[in-house]
Amino acid sequence: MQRRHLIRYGFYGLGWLSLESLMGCEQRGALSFSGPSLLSGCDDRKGNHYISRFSSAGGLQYMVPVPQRVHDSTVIPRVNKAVFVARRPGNHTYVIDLESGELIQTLESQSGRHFYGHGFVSASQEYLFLAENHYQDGKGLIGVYRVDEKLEKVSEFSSYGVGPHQILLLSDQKTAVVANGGLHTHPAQGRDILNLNTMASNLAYIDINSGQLLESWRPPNQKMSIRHLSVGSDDRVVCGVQHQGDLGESVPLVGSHYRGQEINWLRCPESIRLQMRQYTASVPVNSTASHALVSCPRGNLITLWDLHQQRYRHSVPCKDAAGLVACPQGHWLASGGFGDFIKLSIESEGLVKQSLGKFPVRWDNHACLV
Amino acid sequence: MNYHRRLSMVCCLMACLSACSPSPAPENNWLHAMAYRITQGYADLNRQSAELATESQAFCDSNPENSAERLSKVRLKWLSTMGAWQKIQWVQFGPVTHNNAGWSIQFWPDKKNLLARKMTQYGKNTQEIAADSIAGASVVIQGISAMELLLFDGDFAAQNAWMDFKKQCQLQLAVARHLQQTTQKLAMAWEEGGYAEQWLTHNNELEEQGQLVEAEGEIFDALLGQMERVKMDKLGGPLGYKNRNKVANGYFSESWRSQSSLNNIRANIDAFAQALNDPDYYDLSQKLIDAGHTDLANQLLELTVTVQNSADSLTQPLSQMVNSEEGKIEVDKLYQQVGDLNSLLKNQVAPALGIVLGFNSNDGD
Repeated sequence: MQRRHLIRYGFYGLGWLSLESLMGCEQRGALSFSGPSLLSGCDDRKGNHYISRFSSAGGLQYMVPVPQRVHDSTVIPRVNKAVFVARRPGNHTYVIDLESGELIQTLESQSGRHFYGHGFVSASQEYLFLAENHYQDGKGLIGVYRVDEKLEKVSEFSSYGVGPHQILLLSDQKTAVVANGGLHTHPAQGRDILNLNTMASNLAYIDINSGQLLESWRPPNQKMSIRHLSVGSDDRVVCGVQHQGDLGESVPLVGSHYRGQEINWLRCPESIRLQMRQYTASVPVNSTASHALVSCPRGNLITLWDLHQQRYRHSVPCKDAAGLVACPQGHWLASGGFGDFIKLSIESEGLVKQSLGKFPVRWDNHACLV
Repeated sequence: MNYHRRLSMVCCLMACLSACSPSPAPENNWLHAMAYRITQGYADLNRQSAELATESQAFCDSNPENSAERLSKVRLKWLSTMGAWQKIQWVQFGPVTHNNAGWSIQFWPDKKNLLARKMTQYGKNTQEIAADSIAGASVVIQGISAMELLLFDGDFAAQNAWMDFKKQCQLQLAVARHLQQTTQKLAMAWEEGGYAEQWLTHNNELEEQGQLVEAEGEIFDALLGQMERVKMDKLGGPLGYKNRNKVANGYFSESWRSQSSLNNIRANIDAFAQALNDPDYYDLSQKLIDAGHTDLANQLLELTVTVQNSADSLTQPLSQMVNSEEGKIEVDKLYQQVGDLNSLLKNQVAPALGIVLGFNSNDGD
């Protein structure tokens, strides 16, 4: 183990003291939550980037410093590893040992490409698929990597759009659903959007064996950017939008889709839509596929959506909260940019939040359940 | 910070607020100074909107022969209410975010002229408009933009035969009173509701626990966000930089109906300049100097003065300036300068002060 690569908050049994000193004694008690652990990227107060894992008991198991800010992560149980992908225009993907946090590999994107922060693992866990940008011509790609001792790129295919963001696998294990956000960026111009007035987002379904497009759907407004996805147990795809138009413009921000049908845009009262500030982050569906949560960090809200009735149902205020995961028990866990760690459940009165503690870090956009 | 110091700060703040008169803010505390300025700003907005409601009532009570004179008084009061709002518009946190109060005060940008469509629907289909009925309507027609439509848009009045004097008055009074109620709630929330005190206390507690402090980031984020809005929406919008065809369009300026868009921008820049260089209280430039960044403070002050001067030098209404090549060049110059200011804030000032900006909200993906 490369100990110098680990900041030992909660590690090697020494960590409880370190963790208490970081978090304060009161919070430690509040964190005695029994449940699964989470992976997430985070920054410290100086802006240094890390990849981290929270233990199921609520402790911070490891924080591994990395040069690039990561976005989302995925677990590969077969090899007991986790993969963290840099956000645009980052060109790193980090492979760590899931248990120890040891950084095993820093995969660099091919020349002329960068990652978009999201990916998924095939059912056999032998291949990793990553959303990529071929930034010279602005074409979206899905890179295919063999999972072995080291990740190695073996193939790629078109994402059938510009700016592929979140990508996921459907239950048939051969169809990928891709949120092509439609935004063209180039590393030479940082994160600036180069095609705002011509952007075209879509929701694409692709056969991962052949790389062929199966179907693709466009949002009703040219400046709607479909960015985040989740797939329910019934293969319903929930998508979250970041609208690049005016704040007051009336556009839907959450959609629900079954293959072969039009996207069903969920109804939402004007008052809530305005509070969401045209921006959604994570959109996980619960285990029974009845509801989805949608985090809205610009609106400092987490919103609950009824998928059967196709409408917004409730919301709770959560400052800068973006990361969300659905747990098998039916509730969700959320993380926020001011270090908050929250449990969310559906009760008779609606969505209820319970603070599980506050960490002295800024949790990044997405969290992943181990 | 020890308990006694914190207590004295809170007491001092509350004394300042309840007395409603300028009083020295504690040394070296930008948050405290900003809390005071924000509270003052909402109190002023509340005062102006109350007077706007009074003037509207006087206009509606006037005889037809002197209604024109009364109307110009309402228009003047609308301009000063809008000015008060523009000075505090940057505050995009706290009570203004509750129940869409900010949207209720002003619905803008409105590229598709939703305001005129919604007002037509509402005015045409509502027989008697009671003073409190607008609260149940869309936020689009609840606030200061709606008042501007009713007071300044001669074409709208001409195109809508249903809008006789009686109907106009009903709408005007309903909107003015709703605006007054909304601004009153905000002023009270900051002043008597104790939001300022809670905000400062919460921030102190986080600091003591070694957590990431939120309030400085909120203020900085809001100030920067406002200057981004000035650049992208208020200048870039009418310049056509947000359109596919890049064609300038004066109707995309913020207050084209009253031809006061540049006044808004000047008020926005002045509000930023006050946070940076406040003659009476601890300010951002002093914070930079105290953190050992005197050169950066001077650079920021200089650039802000340049931006103020450029805004002051524009003499024609913005909606007209963007229609001529010469005018566009002048407006674009201000657009570029505001961009330079924003880059300096984002890339140098925030890191120099170790200010935590909203992480996912400001820079997500």
